[in-house]
Amino acid sequence: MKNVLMRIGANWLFMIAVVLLYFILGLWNFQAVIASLETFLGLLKRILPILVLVFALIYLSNLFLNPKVVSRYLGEGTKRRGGLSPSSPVFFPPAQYTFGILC
Amino acid sequence: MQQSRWKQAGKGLLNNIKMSIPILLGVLLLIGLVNTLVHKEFFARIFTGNRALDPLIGAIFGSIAAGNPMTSYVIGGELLKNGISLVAVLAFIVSWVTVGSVQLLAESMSLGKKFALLLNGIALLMAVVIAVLTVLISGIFG
Repeated sequence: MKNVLMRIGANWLFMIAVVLLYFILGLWNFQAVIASLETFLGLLKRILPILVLVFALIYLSNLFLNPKVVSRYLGEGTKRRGGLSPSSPVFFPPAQYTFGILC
Repeated sequence: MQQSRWKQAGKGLLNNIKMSIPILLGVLLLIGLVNTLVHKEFFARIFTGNRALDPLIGAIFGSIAAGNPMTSYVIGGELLKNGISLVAVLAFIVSWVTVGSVQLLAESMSLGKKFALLLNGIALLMAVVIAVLTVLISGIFG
């Protein structure tokens, strides 16, 4: 059981849990589910174009930024250290990705 | 060599999409639920309009949440629509990006416990400071 959960991953488990929540709510109040889905679709329509742009930027940052490039700007002997910090806006992925670069 | 670099970047992007899409869709679905089921008065009860307390509450909420930063912008926009003050929403977004209570364990294993705690503690306080400063500065120029 634990193995199956690990294979699915926390991200998908979260989404499955939310979908289950919709199912449970649907049994009790179907109108609320419809209203919630309408809000969801409205939000999705609004952020979809931005999402495409964000993923394009992530691709570019993957292309030009790798641990080697980052350590060139952060490593010993560089003139301007700290210019590229994990929280700087060029890093789009979740913060935990940056720990590997820093180690 | 060059082609493998493009491929590598594509692989990284695919991984990123695989990680962030379920969270993003889950959060959007949750926002739909919250908008339908939770009344605006509930938010007003948590965010009382206190200038000192609201950003701190926003920062604490942001530090608990985890995921891709763009998710926080969507949630932030919805909070603003629900009448939450800009300073609280800003603190929420800044702490979402800079503070990671969920990944604190991984962070302390990689960078050291003391360092991770200090980093997150200072980032939490700074999220409040940055939010207040942003509102003040945008008030001057806007």
